[in-house]
Amino acid sequence: MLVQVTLYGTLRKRFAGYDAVNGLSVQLQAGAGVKALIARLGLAEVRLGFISVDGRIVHGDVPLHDGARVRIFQPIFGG
Amino acid sequence: MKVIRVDMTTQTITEEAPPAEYAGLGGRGLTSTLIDAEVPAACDPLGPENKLIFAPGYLSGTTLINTSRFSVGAKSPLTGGIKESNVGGTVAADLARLGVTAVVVEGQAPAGALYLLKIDAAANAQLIDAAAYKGMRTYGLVKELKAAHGEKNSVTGIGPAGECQMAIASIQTTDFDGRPCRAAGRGGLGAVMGAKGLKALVVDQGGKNPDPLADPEAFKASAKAYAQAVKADEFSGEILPELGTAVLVGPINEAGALPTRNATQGQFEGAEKISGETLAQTIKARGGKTTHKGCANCIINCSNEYVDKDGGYVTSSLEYETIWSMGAMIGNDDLDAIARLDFLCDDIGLDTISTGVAVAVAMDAGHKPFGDGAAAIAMVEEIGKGTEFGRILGAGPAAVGKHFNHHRVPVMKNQSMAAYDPRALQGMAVTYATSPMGGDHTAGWVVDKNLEAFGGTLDRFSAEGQVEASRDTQIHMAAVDTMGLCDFAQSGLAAEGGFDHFMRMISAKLGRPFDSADWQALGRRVLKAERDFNRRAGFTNQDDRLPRMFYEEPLPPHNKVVVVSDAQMDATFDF
Repeated sequence: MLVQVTLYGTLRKRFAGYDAVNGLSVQLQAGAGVKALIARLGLAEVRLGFISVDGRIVHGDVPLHDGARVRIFQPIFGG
Repeated sequence: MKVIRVDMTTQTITEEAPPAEYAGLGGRGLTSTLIDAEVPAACDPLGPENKLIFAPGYLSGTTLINTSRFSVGAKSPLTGGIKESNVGGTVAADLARLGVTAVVVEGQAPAGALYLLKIDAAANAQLIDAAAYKGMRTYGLVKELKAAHGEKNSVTGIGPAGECQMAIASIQTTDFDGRPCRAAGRGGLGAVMGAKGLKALVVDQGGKNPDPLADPEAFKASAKAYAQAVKADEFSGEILPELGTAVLVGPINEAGALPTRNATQGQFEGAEKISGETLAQTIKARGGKTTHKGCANCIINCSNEYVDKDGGYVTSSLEYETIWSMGAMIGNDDLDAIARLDFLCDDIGLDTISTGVAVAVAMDAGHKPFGDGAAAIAMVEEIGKGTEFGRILGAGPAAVGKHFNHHRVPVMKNQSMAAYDPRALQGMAVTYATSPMGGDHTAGWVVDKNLEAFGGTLDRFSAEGQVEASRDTQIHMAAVDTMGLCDFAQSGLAAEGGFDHFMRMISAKLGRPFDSADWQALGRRVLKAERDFNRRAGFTNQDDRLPRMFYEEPLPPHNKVVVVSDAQMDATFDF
């Protein structure tokens, strides 16, 4: 299955030629979850903020589906 | 170490040593305790009894990084309560290096008279006739004042909105590049400055007489360690320099907490077009500046310089709150229009948050369609020109709501909320409702505590634990604002040993031990003074509430309302 990944913050710098409009298209085995996607992207050891799938923040290793829209954010602080 | 008192009624200036009871106070701690002690709470905010107080943070002027934070305090014409409006730039460091603890502006100049206050290299203050600058916008004002008084002066002043005493008028101060793009925006303190008859504060930047430190070596060692921690932190050391505060657009929108179209939605479909990532890409492609120093002593460089398609300067710095208020909140996904609106607010002397929300309320009421950036620009220009409708906008979102008889007005104590919808982040409901400042995000930013991925432990849709989180953060922030530490340099506090280093630096200036218990006591003291003033000004528990819209109108996409009860709100200040 193919999922569409958009990266935020400075995560984009890790992927040469990152397409700011379309993000990354990542091929995964059917039934794979968020954890497998993060591993595939080489972000398993990177400190991440929240991850959303199809516009909803997810917790843990939720399964993905073909065409899923995944957004990966970094931790933030504000005020 | 001195307090300069300026009596605008008689145009006399006196100096005094700071009274002993204010030892260890600067910034918000000093402005709020002085106002509580000296300003009649029932006074007209735009009358002679109110006082406008400028105070650098307690650690401003030291070698500690990111401490050029400036507090401006008064009774607010917008909220009717006490107000501290906090701004960066260089003026806090400039005044502190001259050994000036505070400038207290009292009385009221004769009708029609206008002055500027010049503080020279010897820290002597002088009132100078400023009739020639009447009606001038801030960029033009700074150009003229720097030509007249020298480049090496910071300028802190008001534009036409302040002179017209509009309730959302800001006080603008010059950044590291000498542009009046840093705003003490909240609470309408520009109107107080206008009512005093004070157009600008001109401060020499060559001061070499900061308050002495009791233990310079201890201070130096902790300041060095603290700076290293801020630099090493990923957010303050890497993300903010690259993307600025606009990096918040993406995650807050995704959390469904970005108030959109006058807070009728929590996600903006145009968010990608106005995100921090798009902003940085646009600026770089056009030859502007992303990593940009806005304030003295800053090592984070979260500012930016937005340019047009031809590379010409438009504004600095385009920040998250403005991108929200002039973007999602009015349904506008055009960064160029947002940048123009930001510049206009700085130039006219307006709070970008309240102005954007005033425009949003007008659009929601049907005055103009959401998303019409050109219409928003025309509306803000009306404020600058002082037209009849411009004056209604300049009176703030609640006034606009009354004008159109429109019910949906997202204000607390008459001041608009900021870029975090409390229905999707219940902790912000407590801060907005209970802060003595009115709708204010910096008073107690608990977004991180509401989102697990950012280290939070609270359910953001539940009331549980939100009061405690907001209370703790409000106490902490009252102390931070007293010290003059930049919000974003708080990463140093979170680092291992960082908080202890910060306590050591306070101690090294004070000359006596200072620990976490003193820190808590300081924050509580400031909040108690502010609450005391507001109570005497007529505020009750009923003022610590949100507008009905937040309890009754579910916010898409999560379709939640605020669930923090009135009794829980009333338990926030239990001291």
